[in-house]
Amino acid sequence: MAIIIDESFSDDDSLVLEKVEQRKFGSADSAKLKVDAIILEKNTEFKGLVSYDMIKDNLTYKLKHQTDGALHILKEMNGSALLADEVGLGKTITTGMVIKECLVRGFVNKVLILTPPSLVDQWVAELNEKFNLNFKIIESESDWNTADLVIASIDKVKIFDKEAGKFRHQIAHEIPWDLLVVDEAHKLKQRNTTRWKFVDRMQKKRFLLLTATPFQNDLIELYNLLHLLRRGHLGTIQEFREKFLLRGNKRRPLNPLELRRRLQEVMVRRKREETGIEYKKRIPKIEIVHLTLEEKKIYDSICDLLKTKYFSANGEELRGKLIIYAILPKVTSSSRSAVESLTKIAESEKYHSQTRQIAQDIIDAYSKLTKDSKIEKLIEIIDKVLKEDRDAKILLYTKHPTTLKYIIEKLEPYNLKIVEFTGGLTRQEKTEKIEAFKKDAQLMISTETGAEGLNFQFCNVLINYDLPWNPMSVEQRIGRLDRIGQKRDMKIYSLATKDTMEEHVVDLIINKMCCIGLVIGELPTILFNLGLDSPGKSGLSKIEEMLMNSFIDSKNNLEIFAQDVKGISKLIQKGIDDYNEAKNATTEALDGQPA
Amino acid sequence: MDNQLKAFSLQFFRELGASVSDSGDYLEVKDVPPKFQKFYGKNEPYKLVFDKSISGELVAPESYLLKMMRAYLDNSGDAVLTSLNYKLHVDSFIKDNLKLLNCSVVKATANTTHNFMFKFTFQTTYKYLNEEEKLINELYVDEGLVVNPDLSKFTVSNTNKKDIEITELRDYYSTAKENIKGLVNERTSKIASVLDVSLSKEINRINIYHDQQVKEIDEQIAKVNAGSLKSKDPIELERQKIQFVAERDLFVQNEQKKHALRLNTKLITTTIIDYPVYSIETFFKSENVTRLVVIKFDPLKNKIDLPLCDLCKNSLNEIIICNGNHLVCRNCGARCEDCNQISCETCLRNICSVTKRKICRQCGRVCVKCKAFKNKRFMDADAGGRGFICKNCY
Repeated sequence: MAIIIDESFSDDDSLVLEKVEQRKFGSADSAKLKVDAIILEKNTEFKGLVSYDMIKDNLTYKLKHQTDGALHILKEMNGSALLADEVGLGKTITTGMVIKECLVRGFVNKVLILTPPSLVDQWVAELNEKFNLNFKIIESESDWNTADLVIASIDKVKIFDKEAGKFRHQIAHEIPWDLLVVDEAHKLKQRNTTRWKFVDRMQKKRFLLLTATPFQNDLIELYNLLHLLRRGHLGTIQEFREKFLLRGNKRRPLNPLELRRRLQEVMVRRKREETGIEYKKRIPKIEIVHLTLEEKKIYDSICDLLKTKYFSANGEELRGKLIIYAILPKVTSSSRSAVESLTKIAESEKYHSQTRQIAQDIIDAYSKLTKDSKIEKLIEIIDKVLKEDRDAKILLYTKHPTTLKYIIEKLEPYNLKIVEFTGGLTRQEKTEKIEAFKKDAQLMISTETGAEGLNFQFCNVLINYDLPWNPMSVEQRIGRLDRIGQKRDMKIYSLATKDTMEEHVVDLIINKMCCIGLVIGELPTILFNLGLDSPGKSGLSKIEEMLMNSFIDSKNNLEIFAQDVKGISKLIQKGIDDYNEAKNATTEALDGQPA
Repeated sequence: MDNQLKAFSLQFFRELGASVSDSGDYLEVKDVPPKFQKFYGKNEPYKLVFDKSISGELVAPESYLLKMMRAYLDNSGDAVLTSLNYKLHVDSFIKDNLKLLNCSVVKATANTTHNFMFKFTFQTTYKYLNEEEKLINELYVDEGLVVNPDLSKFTVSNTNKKDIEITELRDYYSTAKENIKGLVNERTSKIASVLDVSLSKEINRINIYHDQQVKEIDEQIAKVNAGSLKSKDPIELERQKIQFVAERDLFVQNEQKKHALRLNTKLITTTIIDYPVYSIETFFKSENVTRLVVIKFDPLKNKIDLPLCDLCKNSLNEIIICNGNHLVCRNCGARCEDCNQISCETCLRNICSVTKRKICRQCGRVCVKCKAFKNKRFMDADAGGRGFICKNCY
């Protein structure tokens, strides 16, 4: 089979000749320099990453295993590999380096990244901030040809239209991709799924599959993954079974050394202990807020208000769920944000007069309150933390700017050095605030959007004044501290009001999900494996939606709500167990180490 | 390599107009034009280092700065006009190239005219798999032909001769373009053979896999036909077989595409090179005569247009001037049998009717009375003093 040789002359030659004809002569020294530069540069064997200088200032930590990995993938594997580093080693960064290098060297034009839905934005942000690459998100079929660098939620684009007999995003298969990246590729373990088939049909010159757990229960899953990457690398499935599958044990290979040898040709896998990266513990601290009788009464009234059908002006339910989705987080955040939301209800004519009256009654009750137990608990926590460590830095999160202002107001008498961090700050302002927090302040109070993507590894105390019901948002909050460079274990304080649904939600999200010893990056994988990482019908995350619906359906019956939360907790635990099983199986089979 | 990089960096920033100071391990660069700072994306001053272990802006084959410097030069030096300078020592030139047998140089002057040739500098970029190679080729075209001049004896300087009439540039470019193909072919073949090995390996993998798949299906079909495998549908198995064959072709094509070699050749600089051509006027003097000889010398082509023998028109590397003022070669030159002076066949056409010897015009005379040619010894001046008369007729 002959090598295809595509020989061409540059179209720009005419421009050079025109310059001569027009006698636009330059200096001979420049011409010599130009040739010298090419000669000096052309001594470039693939020894290093040309693009590294362009990105190194954007990387907080320069980790050798990341550059080594990128170089190995490009040089030894022609850009096609299974990147199976353990979680937390920065597969995204290594992949970003591969993409940037390919683009800078001019090998690659068209790049597609397929990721789980919940990671699309994170990928876009990382590639932009660290690699100055602007990836366009595929929202509809018409987006495919609008950019060379694109990213898509695999769940969204893999849909097979049975009626039409084709993939809805079939156009993606018509584009010759120079590089295709599939994140969380262990989801491609079954060959008969539309997901697998969608990826298999892609025209791809270079292909990166990213997963820390290439298989879970059965080595056939690993075969299927590699079958996608490189046909025949592990033979036919019959050959694979005969050569590598041990009867009675689907996880342990029959011929482990030979399997590992074959895998090494297409796989890059590093373990945490090889990289010297230390991971610190997340210590959950649930702080129970005991409401006064008056506060509890108000809380119950709010719940009653939210479960009634008095929302519409004509007595009909006014898209009740959506309103609850919007209001519930605000009224549970702080008394100030509750009053703010209730005032809107009381003043809006679209609501039924009874609804408005109930809202107004609650506002009146709030105005008579003499104590705010939640804020008192907060002050108690801050005091405790600062007593334990005078130099402690505390990052306090709230969902709502109104609550943020309220907390600042309430903390004013305590003469704390506080930095306020909200959305809408310029890069310069953000840098200044981070510096102020690092140098002088004891407390930084931030909303989610404020601190997105920022690093606070110098701080190890986080307080969730209110808790998002989306575990990924909580993971993002903790992720600001839980980064490479964190030197101490992290204390994660979360306020939970006794005998309210919040108590159960905090327990679920903190104790059962975010602080159970998982390394950063593992929870999204687990949720993705469970199919819980994509938004639900309402646009909220699926878990948040499940919790909200449970709140609505339980009609303020805490026991029913607690049962539902328990159900979600079981589901998550199953996901965690499966994930750990996969991790152990991978370690045993691929690394030759006991799990 | 480090020294080359340092020299290059020094020259680059000086050419930009920046001030560069050499501190041994590094170069300190200030006053960099804002245009470059913006292009590079970093503000001055720069500390240029050539060793990864020293902190600063690294200039190395794989560094970003070198890449940006190269890119910055992309649009400069596309068209260049230069002059080749040659130091001609006329006396030694004559001495080195001509043997003076019966004469000496009384005066020699060189008149200079100018000629020009083109140098086309091409960059060929090879892209294959994840590799990129660049090859620089320079082709000189002079008078429509690709030449290989020896420039070592010239110095190069900038010139302002913008009045050069450029008429055949595009034809010459086409000539260069045709020739460049030959120059890149060698490297192309080498890379293609490396790729061929890799491609064969990949195709082999695909073939082995698909052959085995088809074989396994055939075995199943055989079992179905023999009745020992009832769970499989033979039509479905046949369909799978067809699918595998089609898939094999697709994978092979994909591998071929992956292993494709792309090479693009780009003209990066066209240089017009002005060079001197000399016309050396030399006066040779023999005992009786002085003769002007013009010698043309093109130092670029190392081409000397030597004088020709007046008689046989052969090129001469010896200067012989006959006493009849002819420039002659050894074959055409002869001695007068009387005076033994150098003469030539033209001058020695006459034979003395007395002695029957070939003698030159200086030695012979024609008798005005009998018209016989005789040695002047046999002659006397006639009474009118207008000619000679032989002693027989006197």
